[in-house]
Amino acid sequence: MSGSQSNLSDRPDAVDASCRLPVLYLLAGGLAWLFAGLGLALVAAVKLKWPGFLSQCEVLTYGRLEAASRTALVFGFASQMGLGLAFWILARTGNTRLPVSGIAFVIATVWNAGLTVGIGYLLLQGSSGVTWLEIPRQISPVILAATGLLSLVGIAAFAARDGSRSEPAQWHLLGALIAFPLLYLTAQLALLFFPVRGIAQSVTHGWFSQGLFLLWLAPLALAVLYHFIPVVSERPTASARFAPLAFWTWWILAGWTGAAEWIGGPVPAWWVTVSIAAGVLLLIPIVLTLLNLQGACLFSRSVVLRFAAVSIISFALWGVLTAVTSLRCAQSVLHFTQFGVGLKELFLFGFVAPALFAGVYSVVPRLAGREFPCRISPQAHWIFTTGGIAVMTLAFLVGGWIQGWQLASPEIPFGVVSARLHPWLLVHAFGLALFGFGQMALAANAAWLLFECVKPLKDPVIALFSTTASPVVGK
Amino acid sequence: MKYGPIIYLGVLTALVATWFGFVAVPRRQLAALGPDVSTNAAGVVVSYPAARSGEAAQGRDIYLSLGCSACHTLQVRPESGGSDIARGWGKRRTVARDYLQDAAPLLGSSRLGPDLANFGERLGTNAFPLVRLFAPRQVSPGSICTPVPFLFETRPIRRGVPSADALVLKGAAAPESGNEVIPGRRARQLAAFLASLSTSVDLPEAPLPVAAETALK
Repeated sequence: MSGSQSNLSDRPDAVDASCRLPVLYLLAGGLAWLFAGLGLALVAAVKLKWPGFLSQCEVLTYGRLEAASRTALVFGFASQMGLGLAFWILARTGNTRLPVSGIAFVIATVWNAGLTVGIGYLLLQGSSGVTWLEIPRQISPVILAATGLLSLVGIAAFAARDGSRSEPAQWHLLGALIAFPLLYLTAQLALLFFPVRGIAQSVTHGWFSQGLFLLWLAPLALAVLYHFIPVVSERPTASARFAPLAFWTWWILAGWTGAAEWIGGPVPAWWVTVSIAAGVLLLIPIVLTLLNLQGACLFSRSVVLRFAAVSIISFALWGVLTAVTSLRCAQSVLHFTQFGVGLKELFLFGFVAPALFAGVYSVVPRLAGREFPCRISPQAHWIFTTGGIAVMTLAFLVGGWIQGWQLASPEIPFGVVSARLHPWLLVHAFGLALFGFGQMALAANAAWLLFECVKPLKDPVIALFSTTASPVVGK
Repeated sequence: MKYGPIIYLGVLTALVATWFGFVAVPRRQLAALGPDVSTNAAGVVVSYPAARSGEAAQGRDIYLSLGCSACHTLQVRPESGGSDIARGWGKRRTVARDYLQDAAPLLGSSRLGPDLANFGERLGTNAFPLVRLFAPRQVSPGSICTPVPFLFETRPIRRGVPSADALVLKGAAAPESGNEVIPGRRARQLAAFLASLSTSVDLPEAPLPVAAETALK
């Protein structure tokens, strides 16, 4: 993987040392935001079933909770964890120290502070009304600046790599680090600061929200899979000659899929048609990527490979379902139903999150210098995560499909459609709770690991005078 | 692949191409769109869409701030792509011109609740039923719409005479005896916005069907 010159054999430790603080911090921050986002999502799910629950409280109105949980999960959890893993992969594959790691830590802190204030503002004062840009414009530039600067750190790590060769994980990371700050900047300017009136905004907005998923979260997750599947399975990337084609077709096509969500809407039809075509063609890079990522297995002994397998299966399922249901005949039934929400959740919880967890189980032990203390906890984490994803996405994919058929029949009153959706909402909430419960296994294990690392330092005075070799963190 | 610069340039080019497609071109193509000016039956020149009244515009901010868009769309799909028109959610499909007045079009993406693009029209000549905001289930049983009681004030009935504005509430939603629930300023603004929602104007690009009067329920 990394440079093979023998005089660099001491590099891995130095590389890990340079990554330790910012990467562990970003991963821990991501985990904290995962809990915050899931907590908000659970309260929102309960409110869908019992709308009177906490209804006196304006801060906990369904619309605000829903926006806050999505923001926390995407900008807090997935983006931060993805960025943390990106730093480590770029430093490790390039066999170079992570530049300005101390500054990266400070910037990540600013990001977290900005996100906390932004989500707090969203809950207290209300959303800006633009999906994925709900954080008000007084605060969103802080997150944009932090994103941009952290991306520069990653790009600098890539530029400083040892030797000119590069691998697919690096390409995807580089693409994401270049594309996302530009997308986010353009979207903030065009939608929050200098909004055009009317529908041109919706088209631009579709471009941004699709880019957020396909040109930021997806490449981060794919990079983790591309890097760790060969490392953990100890086999080279399968069908590696397809990797450049997979990369380029993905990056050329994915940006064009943004207007598909406005099908039948008040936007000029050619955008929608282009987006549908791009969405179907996106199956090409998806199939090629699957060929590359064959090394993962649901029944592997390694929890990393099992999380990777869940991620890959979800990615394939998401790709096929998105392509098939983006056609006009399907959308006239499925549009505006929970089916679309289910697809987004399949992407975020099914594809991105398990890939990140696979990365966490690979990277954290190296950086902490010791294995996760509990052996059973990762198994429980995997089972509950997988079960939760299966239950919640199935509930919305099936329930949304039924909802769509009923909505398409005007003789069924809206109230009846709504009432028949109730059980599916409940099943979905149960799946979400399962998923959230599983994350506690990871959090507990991480907390125990932290305790194990800190314990030797508990009495530094005795350690200093002790004649026996004291355990040193990181060995 | 060996070289970083190919990736930098390639990704940038791909991104800029989509930027033209989804940011620059929409701005150009839709910039020329202006309001539809016509003369109505009374011979008065009218422009559509008209600016909202102050109260309705403030109500729109409340709609936006409470995240009503999480469950309600404000768009009517054409007859070929869904049952919107058959359900009586509009007489014609909505088009770009309908949103000219909106700083941020709230098209919405979920129909956990019904479409509201023509909600004001469904009210007819009735006043907006404010009970719908305070206790949605009293108006439509089984509704999952989130109540917004914080836009209302519960206060003791003054001098034994209930306020004319007091909501008529039944069952669990009713206040304790001797109290009444009256709408606050924000509740009235939100109601004004919802009552203002209507797109039934004949446009060249989206004409009203001739016999549409009976379709709206």
